[in-house]
Amino acid sequence: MLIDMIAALLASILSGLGVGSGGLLVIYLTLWGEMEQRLAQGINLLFFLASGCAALVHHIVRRHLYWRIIFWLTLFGIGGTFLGTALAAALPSALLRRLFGGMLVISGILTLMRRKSDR
Amino acid sequence: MKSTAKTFAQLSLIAGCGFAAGVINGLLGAGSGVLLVYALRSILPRHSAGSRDIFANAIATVLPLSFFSALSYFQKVSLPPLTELMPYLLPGLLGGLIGARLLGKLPEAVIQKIFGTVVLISGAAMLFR
Repeated sequence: MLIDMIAALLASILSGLGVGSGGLLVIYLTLWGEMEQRLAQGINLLFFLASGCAALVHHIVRRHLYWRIIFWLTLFGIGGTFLGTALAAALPSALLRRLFGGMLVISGILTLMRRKSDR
Repeated sequence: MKSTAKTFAQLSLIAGCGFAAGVINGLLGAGSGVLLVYALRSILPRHSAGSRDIFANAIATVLPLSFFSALSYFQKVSLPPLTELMPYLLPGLLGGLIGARLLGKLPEAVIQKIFGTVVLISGAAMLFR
């Protein structure tokens, strides 16, 4: 359990730094811990709710948040989440894992392609 | 407050990327931030939104999406008991604060290279195994 906690701590610090597409914990849970993909993703959602809220508390006072844009993005996004979760529940675990892997590959490539000027 | 003139292109970008981010978030539980950072770079005013602002706005968007995703997700998938979740949630809270605090203060290029590679290799492993 201690290793789980250390992994979660590292994953949340890195996610707060903008590294790893939010998937680092899932990588730990599934590749290291051999957890089932659907369960790992669910845990990751809750995990991000915790770490993201903590990060947001910090960002609200220091960064410029464009609330109207966030609002509209979220509004359209919520519609998307219904479709997304329905798919997550319906698709076979093996396919879900591959899709996740595909997302990570894209994210990894984009990260490595970043030049100093962009972020 | 300056009012932003929104063209149809911008509105479509917001609608399309917002929806797509929601699908990704519901489907995978991660990764929508990547899309949102790219979208926000085009949407947010270039002169006033630095990279940390863009990232903070992305987090602020993914949070409510994750909330709604979790709501529908755990109607279909069984929710683990709280005792099983605690080892992840509590360190997550702490780490989120630490990470946010450190944003912009660490040598990002090195970190991005290391973890970009980790992510890429892990992704390949999940794709092909």
